[in-house]
Amino acid sequence: MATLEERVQALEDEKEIRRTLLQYSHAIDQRETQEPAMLSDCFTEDAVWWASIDGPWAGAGGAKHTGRQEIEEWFIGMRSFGSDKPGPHGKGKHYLVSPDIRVAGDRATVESYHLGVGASPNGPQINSMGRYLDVMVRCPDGRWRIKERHLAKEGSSVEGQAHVVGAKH
Amino acid sequence: MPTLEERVQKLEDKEAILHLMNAYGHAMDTGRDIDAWNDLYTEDAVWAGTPITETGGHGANRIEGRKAMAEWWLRAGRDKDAYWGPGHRASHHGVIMQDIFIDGDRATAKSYGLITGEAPNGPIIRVIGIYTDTIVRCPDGRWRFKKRHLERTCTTPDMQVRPLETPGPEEMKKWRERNIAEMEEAKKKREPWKPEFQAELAKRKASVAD
Repeated sequence: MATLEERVQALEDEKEIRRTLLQYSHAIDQRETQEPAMLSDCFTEDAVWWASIDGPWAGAGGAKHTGRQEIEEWFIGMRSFGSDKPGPHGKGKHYLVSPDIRVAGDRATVESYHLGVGASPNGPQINSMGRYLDVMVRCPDGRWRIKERHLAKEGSSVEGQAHVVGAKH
Repeated sequence: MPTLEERVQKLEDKEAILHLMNAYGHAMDTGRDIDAWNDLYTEDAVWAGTPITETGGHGANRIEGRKAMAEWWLRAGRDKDAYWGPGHRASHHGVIMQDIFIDGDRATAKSYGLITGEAPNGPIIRVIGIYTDTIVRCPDGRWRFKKRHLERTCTTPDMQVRPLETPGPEEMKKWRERNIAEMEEAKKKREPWKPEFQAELAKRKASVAD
């Protein structure tokens, strides 16, 4: 039987994990005004972000970023993307839907839906969708960070397909 | 004044219910795991949905009991790899805006459902609606759906002509073959290096600029 202390810890862990997941989305969607550290702070030093293509609509290619520095470079590169608003990803939003969080000690796995809603000539549409498969770890400072984020891309719009997933623009 | 123990219990209950609501989608959408699906429901659980539209929907949609839920899930062949090809990979049953009220061993929850799918021009939202759930704490301590009601508030035209009852494997196969053929055809134009794709993209960009 878990002690009250342990039970509160488990609740706090879930909350912290959710906070990191949300910070990731908000960082990317506010890339023009936020520092790259807002994104890289979601990751461990040795983190890997990679995307796979799954399904006929998934886009033009995959990408991989290893370590915080590469993730920051990617973030900076993304700033130019969507700056020709209301272009393909102009003012798009990264929705994180239905995160299924499973914590085991200092490690957690999370499966959630990625829904990238952005501009199209006809208004907002899904430009990108798929699943995030995350491995997260508790860091020495108490924060939960992403150690591995696998975006299994399952679909993208006509606009989204012109865009290499996760590329350094 | 609730004790600390009670307050923690309530927070745990809320987390467990959130987990249940999210697990529903994952069990439905990746779910080659019938046990994960079954485990979401009480023995006597009822799933009910409004007809897809007032005008074009097919029948009421009501499934009673965990056993019937399992049969419904299996009917299309979700337990087979073949099911998870094009046309299904990008079907997600997402929920957002979960609002949960707990009263002892019983809870009611409302949430917005967001069901996506694949269409020839890329992913689309097929259905939006409101889930109203009755969720109960079972003797083993786990929370499960006792009743799940989906009010579909907006659907795509293709949903409106599709029968609500899950088609059997044969109909599903035909439907999928047609779907894949359609998507493959459209995909040929969509490959970014193809002139047709570039032309379409340029056309769209121009229409934005206008």
